[in-house]
Amino acid sequence: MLKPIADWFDARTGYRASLAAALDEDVLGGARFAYVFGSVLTFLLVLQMTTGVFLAMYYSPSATDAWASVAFLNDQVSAGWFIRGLHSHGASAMVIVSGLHLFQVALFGAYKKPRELNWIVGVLMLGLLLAFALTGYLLPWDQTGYWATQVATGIAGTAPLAGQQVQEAMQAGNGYGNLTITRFFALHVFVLPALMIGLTALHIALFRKHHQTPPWWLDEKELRRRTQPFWPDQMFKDILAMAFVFAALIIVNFQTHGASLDAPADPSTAFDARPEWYFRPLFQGLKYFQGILEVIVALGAPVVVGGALLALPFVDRGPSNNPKKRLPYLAVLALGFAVAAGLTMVSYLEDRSSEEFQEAHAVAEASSEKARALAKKYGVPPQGGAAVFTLEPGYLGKNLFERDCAGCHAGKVGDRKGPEIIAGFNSRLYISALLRNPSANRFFGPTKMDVMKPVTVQGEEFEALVELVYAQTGADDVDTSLVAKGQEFFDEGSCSDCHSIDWETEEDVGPNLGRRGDPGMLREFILNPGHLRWYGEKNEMPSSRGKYSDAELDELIGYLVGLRTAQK
Amino acid sequence: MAEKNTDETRRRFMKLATFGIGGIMGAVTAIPLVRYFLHPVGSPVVTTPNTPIDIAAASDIVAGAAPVRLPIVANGVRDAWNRADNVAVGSCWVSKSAAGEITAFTSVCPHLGCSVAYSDKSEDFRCPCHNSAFALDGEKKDGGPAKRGLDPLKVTVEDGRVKVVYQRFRNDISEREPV
Repeated sequence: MLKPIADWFDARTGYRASLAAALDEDVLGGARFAYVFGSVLTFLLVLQMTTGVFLAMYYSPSATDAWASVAFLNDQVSAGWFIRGLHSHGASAMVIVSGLHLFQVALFGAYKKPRELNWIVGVLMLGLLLAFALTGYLLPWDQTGYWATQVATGIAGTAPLAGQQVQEAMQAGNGYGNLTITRFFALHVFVLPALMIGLTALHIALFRKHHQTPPWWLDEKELRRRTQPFWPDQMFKDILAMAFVFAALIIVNFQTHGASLDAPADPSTAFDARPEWYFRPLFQGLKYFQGILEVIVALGAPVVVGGALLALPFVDRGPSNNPKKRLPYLAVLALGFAVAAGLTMVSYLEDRSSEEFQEAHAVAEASSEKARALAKKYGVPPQGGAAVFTLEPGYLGKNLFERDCAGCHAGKVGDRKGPEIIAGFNSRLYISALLRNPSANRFFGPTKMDVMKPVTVQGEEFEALVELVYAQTGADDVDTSLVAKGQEFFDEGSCSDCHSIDWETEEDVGPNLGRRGDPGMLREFILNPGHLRWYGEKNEMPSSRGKYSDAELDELIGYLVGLRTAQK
Repeated sequence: MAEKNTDETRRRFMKLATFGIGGIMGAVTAIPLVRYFLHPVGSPVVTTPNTPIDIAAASDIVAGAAPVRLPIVANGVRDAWNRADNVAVGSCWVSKSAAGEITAFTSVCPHLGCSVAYSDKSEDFRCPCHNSAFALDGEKKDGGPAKRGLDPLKVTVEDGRVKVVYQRFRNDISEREPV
């Protein structure tokens, strides 16, 4: 049924002949699993391009949008995490399979005459792969990508002569920002893929010209006898290998639930960044060098490694493909690989045994989780990814408190100059502790108001007094009958000798306790703590009049009120 | 001859298996890609809170005067990953009757979504794209492709401020169906 249609197309395109030309190739010495790596890499490249195009449907390359768009596509778009995970882990797979490919080619002596050019093209593709990884790492604009890439461009900046210019060209300007990300994005999705596609075509064309390098242990006659067609014999092995790699990729993707995404890039924070695993050898190696040596190693190591690989076919010019006769070259290659693997391992072990790193890592994870949860719930403000934290309820008030108040009201004994204001502030527990020991260090001990005698009454009388003071905060769980009793004890007992609890009375011995801790009182107090209603001349706290906008003051008061029910 | 036959069978199997495995791999990739691609279909990507939005002081709108176009500037506007305040989401034509009743029509033409203008000359609303015309009470005038009148927005007046609830409606149908 399909045949007439196929015939129609063939008559007009000649596709059968082209297809036959593409597939009818003899594999000298027969199909082998040793030959699958190139095909697997082609498959992975197609997978990267496909997932990459789909990622671009949701990704926005700008310093303010990038993180938010990645968080959105990863955490909210259907299958977004899966696609992004395939892309990220797919890059790792490409590095691994490229390594295997290089190893197979080296073992079979496939870089030798007349295949030197194809070896060179392959080495260049390996370089492109790393350029892809480097540019792609920054695109989510998360903490890891941001800081790790700073290191990479920083290394470029240390280059002799035009280092600074090179760095500024890479990051597009004097620092990281919109232009850095548009530049990395353009390289990652336009320039590098174009180069990669071109080199892949060249690589395959040269391969088709020279064919596989057959196994060295078979003689000419045996090779001919065992020859098999590429289609389907080799292709079948190829697709098995592709399926194996793909299955592994999917398993890893599910196990890791896609690629990681750190908290949004925030230049104001410290961050213990690590590069992708395949850059670990360089990362670790640099730790052993300082000063000018560091520069030399950072820039020199990639040049030396790349140069050595490029030079291999011109150095090893012996006619034999037998590894035994090329041992020195293979040994250098193996040594290089072993050093890289060793450095990588040491790097991971160091991180694992470093408590500081583990702590920083845990903080980073928590910060990432919080940022992503906030982004999912509220969306991200146009100011950029890091602004997502400002959407957390109470964020502004907490920040203002930490900036302006915590110095005197939180922190260690000795640093504090006023009563401690932490979770539980103005709760019943806090008030009873205050009444029992007003001059304690956590209350008025560090101030000039450390003169009140502890309240010693017991039982219901004490409870009622606590409830009376508690009721001033405006809390909605007040026991009104207990408050009434408290008021009686207050008036009849010694409290009223020094305190009023009516808001109006001024210039008593002690502060007026009326509305103590309610939002209106806190507002008045913050603006004018030396008011005669409260501490008068004994007050040491500076007034905040004119310091805050109304909205900021509301947030700060909201935070203080919220502490009453906050958990420690 | 026998060897050739087994080779034939073996190769036929390998060909079929190659297509089979390739097909499975393609499907495993295609299914999530399609879901991912279609994610925005039917999901509220751009949203404006349906709370009343302050557009003007009631006293600024003159009773009996020609309608005025007022921008609708909303807070908490979601657009995919963004949440933004002070976003101009649209505009509305506002007028006050002699009796003091305020009405607001969204300026989005119910035909294909162009922005409707007010014509001083003919004292009615005109869509510049396809010449739909609407009377001052929003009713569709004869001629012009629109299938319904202008879409009114819910107006409230609180403490002397005029507020509207911003809404978009589906284009080019005779019913008024919120998007």
